[in-house]
Amino acid sequence: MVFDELETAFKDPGQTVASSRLFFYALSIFGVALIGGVTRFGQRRIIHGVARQMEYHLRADFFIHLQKLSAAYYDNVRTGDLMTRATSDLNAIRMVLSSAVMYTADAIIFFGFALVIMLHIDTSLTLVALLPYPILAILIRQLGRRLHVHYEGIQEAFSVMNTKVQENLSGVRVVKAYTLEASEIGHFRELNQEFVGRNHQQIRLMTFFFPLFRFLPGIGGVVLIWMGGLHVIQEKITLGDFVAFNAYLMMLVRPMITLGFIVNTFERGAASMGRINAILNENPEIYDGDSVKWNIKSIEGEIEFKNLNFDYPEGQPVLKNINLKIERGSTVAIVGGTGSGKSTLVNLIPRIRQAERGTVFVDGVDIQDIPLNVLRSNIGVVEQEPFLFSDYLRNNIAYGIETPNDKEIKAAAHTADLLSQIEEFPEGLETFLGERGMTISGGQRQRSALARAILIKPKILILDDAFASVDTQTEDTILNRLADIMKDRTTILISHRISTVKAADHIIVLDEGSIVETGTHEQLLEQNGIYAGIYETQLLQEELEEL
Amino acid sequence: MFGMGGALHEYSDEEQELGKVYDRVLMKRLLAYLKPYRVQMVIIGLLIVGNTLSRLAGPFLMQIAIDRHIMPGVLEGLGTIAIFMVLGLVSEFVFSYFEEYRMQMIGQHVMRDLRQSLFSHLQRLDVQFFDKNPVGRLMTRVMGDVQVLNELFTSGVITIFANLLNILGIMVAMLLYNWKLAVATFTVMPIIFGATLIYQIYSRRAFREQRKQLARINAFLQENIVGMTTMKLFAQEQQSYLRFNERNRKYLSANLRSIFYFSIFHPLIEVMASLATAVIIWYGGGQIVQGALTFGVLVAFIRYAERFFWPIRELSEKYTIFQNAMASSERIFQLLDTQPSIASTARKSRKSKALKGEIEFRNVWFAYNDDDYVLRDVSFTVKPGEKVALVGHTGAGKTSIINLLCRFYEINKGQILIDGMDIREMELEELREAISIVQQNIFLFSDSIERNISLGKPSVSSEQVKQASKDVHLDRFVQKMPDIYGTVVKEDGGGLSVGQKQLVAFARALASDPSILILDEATSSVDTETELLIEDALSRLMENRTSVVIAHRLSTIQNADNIIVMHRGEIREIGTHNELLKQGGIYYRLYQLQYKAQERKENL
Repeated sequence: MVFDELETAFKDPGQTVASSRLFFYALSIFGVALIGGVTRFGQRRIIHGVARQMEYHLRADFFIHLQKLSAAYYDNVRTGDLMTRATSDLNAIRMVLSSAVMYTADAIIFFGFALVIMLHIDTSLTLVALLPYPILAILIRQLGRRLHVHYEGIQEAFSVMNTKVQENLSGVRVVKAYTLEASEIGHFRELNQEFVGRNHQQIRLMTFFFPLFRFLPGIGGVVLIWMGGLHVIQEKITLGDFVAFNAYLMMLVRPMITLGFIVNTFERGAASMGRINAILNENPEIYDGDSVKWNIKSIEGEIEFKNLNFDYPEGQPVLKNINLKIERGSTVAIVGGTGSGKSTLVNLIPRIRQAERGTVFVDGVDIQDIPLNVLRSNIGVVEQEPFLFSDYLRNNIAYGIETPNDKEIKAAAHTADLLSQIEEFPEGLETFLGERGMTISGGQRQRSALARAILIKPKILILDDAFASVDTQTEDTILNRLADIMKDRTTILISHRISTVKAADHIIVLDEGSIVETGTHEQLLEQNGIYAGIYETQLLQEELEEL
Repeated sequence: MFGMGGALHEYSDEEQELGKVYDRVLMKRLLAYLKPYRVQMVIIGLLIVGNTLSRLAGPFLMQIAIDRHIMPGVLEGLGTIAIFMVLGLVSEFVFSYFEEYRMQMIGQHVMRDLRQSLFSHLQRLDVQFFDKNPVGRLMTRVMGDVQVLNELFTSGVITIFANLLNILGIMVAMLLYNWKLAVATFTVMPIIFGATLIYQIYSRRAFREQRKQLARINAFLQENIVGMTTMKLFAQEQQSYLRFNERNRKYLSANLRSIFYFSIFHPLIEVMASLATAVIIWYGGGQIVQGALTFGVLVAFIRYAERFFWPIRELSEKYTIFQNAMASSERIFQLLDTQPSIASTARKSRKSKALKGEIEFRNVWFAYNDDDYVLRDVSFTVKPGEKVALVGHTGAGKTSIINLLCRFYEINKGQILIDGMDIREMELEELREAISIVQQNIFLFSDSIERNISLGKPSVSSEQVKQASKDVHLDRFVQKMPDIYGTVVKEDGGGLSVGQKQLVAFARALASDPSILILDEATSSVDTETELLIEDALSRLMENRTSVVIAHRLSTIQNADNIIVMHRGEIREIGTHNELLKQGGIYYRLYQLQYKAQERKENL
């Protein structure tokens, strides 16, 4: 509108123009700009705000989905890669939502507005000035396609580098112990260079196209000077029209300059969205299905395996035709060689790994029909290499419960024979554990994990070689204390030490995924099979020690 | 409650530091990374000058076209001007391409250099540092923060120069045309300066908060991905999500706060640009009326003014980038400035001679923090080739002894000597190369079995890997794997059983052929059959080597030349199995406990 007013102002430049009239024009330019500025402020706030909100939701969705995916999925992905997606890819998508959307809106508005007025002033001139734009459209498509490919490559290379750093930092003790620093630096240098190489291709493309987007519309401007000048001389249009037209053409060019940026951001965002979708589209393997009986609020602790077979996606069968009933309140020990399937078997009970329907039952109900939350919050598991969080010891022990109180925490710590040591720590329960609990010893980690499991008062307690880093004296103490607590609860015990397992109500011997022997310690000794063999070996060792 | 305290713990130290560093110092350090690219920078500078001149030509040609041809109606020569305009556009295109291309590549190279120096620096830091800094947070430094600097180097530093040159060029052009009108146009400048200053103060705070919150989210995310199984086992999805959400929300509100500053500044500059145009029309229009100005000049002026505010607007955008970059570089340099407390300060290198492997602890005192001593006045000697077993309850200080031997931590008092030389006077690399350690938690790289054994050391050949693997009875397991030695181990050894992981660690230790072997509770978690294999492997591993073993199994201990009994950070007994039994002390008690368990078995 301002330009329309200006048009009149310039129509007869030689004539007398009142300075008050000029002042009015100037004021209206500023006024319109002020309104525009306020609008743009609002527009920016809204668009950026919405983009941040969307980023927030997308990140939340990503995390929620990660929580749903099962152990089998995590076997095949790397943490560094997931982290790249949650950070760098998410950021690329946010850029699309904020900057790209904003510039696109700007571009469309300016372009449309300018085009209408230009057509009004001089149709033929407008059409000529628009000539470079179809070429631009084709170029943009070309650029978009190629950029997409490049960005996928760049994000991939970034991810590989990310994973490398993460692994290096996680394994820092090995790196130091074996003086791998130099070779690690060398390896990182290669990945670092590879990443730069990938970027190089993208940069070459971008830096060529960006100025091109300025160059082509500029040609339109030249045509305008030449043809438009001709039209003025031929008195087809006024000089004021010519200047105004020129100003509008500038408005047309400006969005074109941001066009490169827009295409770039969109393609990058699209590549990143693809990478995030790859995770979001991953179907969780373990979830509460339609058949879940929601009225189940707790479990008693009877476990039964019926004709259970299990194998990992790529590899030989791990468990073969397992039939086993574990009575409520009993203690069952599982013995077997490395890779015999012990851990896999117990992982199936809390559905960390998924067994086929109709093979695993708790209280006579197929575990797939028990709400996951009910099932898991009634099962306490202590793994051989437990994971502790970088948090206070108190919070680590109280991890599974909502309202921890000191008395209960200390009682659990006492059962795990950890209390006396906690009292020796200068900061007691307030001791802050480093990443993965690395600031305390292996034995202390295992016992913290045990206390954590006891504290949820599980109906089923699974000790998966949980005493491997604890000495025999401590183990003895713990087992005695556990016996009281676990009277009415089911305990599954995996161990290599006969001394640990012999008191169990029932001992199961696994060999290459099959149950080969079952019975009490005495019965198994009578059978004179694998168990008896293990027992004899351990006896022999101890006899040797007597010498 | 959970997690909140942890977060405070994590970030309090970092926050204190952040306020102290100044932009100028940071900028100087950042610019130092541009030094290797000086020649290229000069070339870019020349390209920028060319580019600026090309851009200035447009409005000038326009003015000539209007004043000399269109207004008087002289058609002749208009074509020539058009040709000149095209030439200007072509040269602008060419200059822009080379300028941008070189600039972006320098940015990439600088980032590569920064990442490399961060990574290399991290390799120098000691174990204590990693105890305190979660991997997630360090990752944000090496990858995230460096990436933020990308913008500074690619569209920042050099573009600032280009923009300034542009502004300068336009100012000169305007002054040459009509200095009065030019000065009138420049009246809006003080307002812009003022606005920028205010913006700087507020946005800086907001940006710092943003970065901090992002680092919190990432550290949390990282830890929870790694601990996913534990979270599931305890059905903590909901709680864990709430903790995540709390961080995510804080980040969101930090972002929303910064948007206000970001949103108001930009349009403000645009309004100022329009104000300048208004001034030109008002004042310049008056001048035309008085005949002091030609119409072409006025048009050229408006176009110059438009181009004048463009770089200013861009500069303000650069300011956002600059803010971000400063926040990131503060963190980066903080990390780079963290000095390893354990540095190689070798006075004498003995590279030529192989170590014999004699170990001596001389009145060693050690605490992980402050005065909380985990080792008190520990002294013992291990002769070359001797096997020593460390025995004691959990937490007695056994692990600390081997940590100190590898110099993962620095002792508080006393001396540790190897072959009579204080380990603090040895080169770290030399010391650690002489020692192989099999730790409690075995860490495997997600790489092939072969590389996990050789660790990529060129000195270890494929044959040696296979031989070591056979010696520790790992070969039989590897032969069953799909790609034998090329089989890629999943992250953190996933897919291998605990026993297999241990065998890999043994093979790794054997392949590096150390003078000193250290085993930490490694034999305690394998089934009897595998254990027999391992015991056999161990005897080969320990052959002709000084060995320090932490084991609970008496059979292993029994083969030791000496047993050191630790209790509450002190050495209580030293001697052979039989000697110690006769003493009837702590070792006797430990032994009895094991024995008692066996007796019970016999009675059943």
